[in-house]
Amino acid sequence: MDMIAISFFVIYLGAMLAIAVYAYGRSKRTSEDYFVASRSIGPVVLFLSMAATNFSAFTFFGFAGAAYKFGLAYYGIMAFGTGLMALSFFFLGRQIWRLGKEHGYITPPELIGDRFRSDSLRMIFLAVMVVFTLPYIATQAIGGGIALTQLTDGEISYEFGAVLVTVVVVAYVAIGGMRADAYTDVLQGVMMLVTLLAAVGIVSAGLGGFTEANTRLAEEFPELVSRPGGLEYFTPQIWMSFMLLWLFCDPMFPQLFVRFYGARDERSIKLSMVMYAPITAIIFICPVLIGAWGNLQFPGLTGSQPDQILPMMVGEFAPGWILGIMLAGAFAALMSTADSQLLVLSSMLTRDVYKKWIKKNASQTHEFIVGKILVVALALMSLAIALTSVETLFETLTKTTFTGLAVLFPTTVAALYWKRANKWGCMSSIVAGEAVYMGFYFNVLPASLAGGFLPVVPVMIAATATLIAVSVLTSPRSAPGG
Amino acid sequence: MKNKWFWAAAFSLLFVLSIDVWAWDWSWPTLFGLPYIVTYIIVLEAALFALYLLFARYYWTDDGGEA
Repeated sequence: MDMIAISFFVIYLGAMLAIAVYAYGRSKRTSEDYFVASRSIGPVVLFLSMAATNFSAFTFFGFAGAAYKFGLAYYGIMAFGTGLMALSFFFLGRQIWRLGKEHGYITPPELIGDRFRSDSLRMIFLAVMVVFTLPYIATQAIGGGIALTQLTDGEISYEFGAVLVTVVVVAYVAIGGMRADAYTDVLQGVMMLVTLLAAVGIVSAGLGGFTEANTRLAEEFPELVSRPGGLEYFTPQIWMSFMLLWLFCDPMFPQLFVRFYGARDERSIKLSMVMYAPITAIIFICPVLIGAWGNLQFPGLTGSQPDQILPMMVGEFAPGWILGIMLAGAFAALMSTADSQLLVLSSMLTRDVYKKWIKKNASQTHEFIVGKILVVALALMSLAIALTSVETLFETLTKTTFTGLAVLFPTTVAALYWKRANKWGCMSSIVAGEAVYMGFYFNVLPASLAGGFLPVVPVMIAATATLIAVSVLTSPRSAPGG
Repeated sequence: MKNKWFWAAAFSLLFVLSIDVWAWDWSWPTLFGLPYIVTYIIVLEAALFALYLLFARYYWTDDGGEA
């Protein structure tokens, strides 16, 4: 166990808690302040918070592993796809921010339910967001457990690592809410960027230089530098599918959706949109390069082994304490996502369930306390998932999360822009979209039906067509709440 | 610059350019030994950044108004 690495890690965790205490000192002890920081997040903090929240443990481990298998073309899928997705900050984020400010919305289902004057739709929207987000919090705890085990050469168990990460995240979210979440995101975002760039420098130097590493890769693994990629995975249909998947699903991540509410003004959202292209261009190239280069040093990895390629490569060319700092960057990535997910799920259960159905006259202070209790309860639930073997359900939900959440996209667009849409159309759209996706996932529907595209394409066609058809065939909605 | 169809066309064109089927199997090395696909995506990202800047400056005004 490298004590320098451990010390760095302890300082990092201490810094997170110190930031939370600072955020608590600036808080107003109301639910609006706790869940959306009193809609006061400025441009730079909002941008870094958006980025840190969006880039999770998967950015460090999953991207590198995918690039190991499929090659450098994976960069385009992630970088350009996510960069283009930021256009939704204009056509969704701006409207969500305006309506949130005007009507005091704090959660995504509040906006949807109020626009269509439907508690049923609000509950369906809530259920989809909770079902597909909770397993992802567990994923972050699992990532933390694995990373801490690596950091200590197995001297600290996976279980202890998962518990430690969860406890620290719960502590700073419970103390400081969205304000602490956003402030810690700034530090975590910077840490991610710096450690990933440093990792590229270290690994490329170890391989004989940046140009040399790329030249060797092209000579020894030519398929990994081509557009079709390893296993010729990337076809034009797959490429288009991923572009559409990010566009539809990313804004439907509840932790990103509520950040639009938290913005101080439109300028803050605008800056986030503009800066998303350069940040995705820089952040995503790092794990993808290291993952592809991994074939030069560790050829023939199979199964889930490629997901460990980034720490393996850094560990190969750098002393243990540097690997420790790199893993702290991975912790930053996963914690910045887990804290936001915990907070948003807590806000939804507080506002859309507790206040809506159990205690309608709850004050903001009361909601603030209930929200904190729910943060702890949700964290314990996700930890239980991470520590027990419910793999079938867990893996299914995790693998279906992106498309599962994308199904909410047509309903959200209709809520913001289409006056003829009604609750029947939206509820039918969500049910039809999820049903079609489950049909593909469980092989009830043949894969050939997707025509070479990922299931997200037929799923979105089904969800959109159902929304339009049912809305047109049923009565128009009553005047929305805005 | 104040017309929404102009921006719809500009972003759509960029999306279509990302699916450069005419160069699907190009893989020759470019700057720093990076293959064509990586350099091409970096260029597209730079173009996207420039478009966002112009979009924010000329279309998405601070009062939220558009043409």
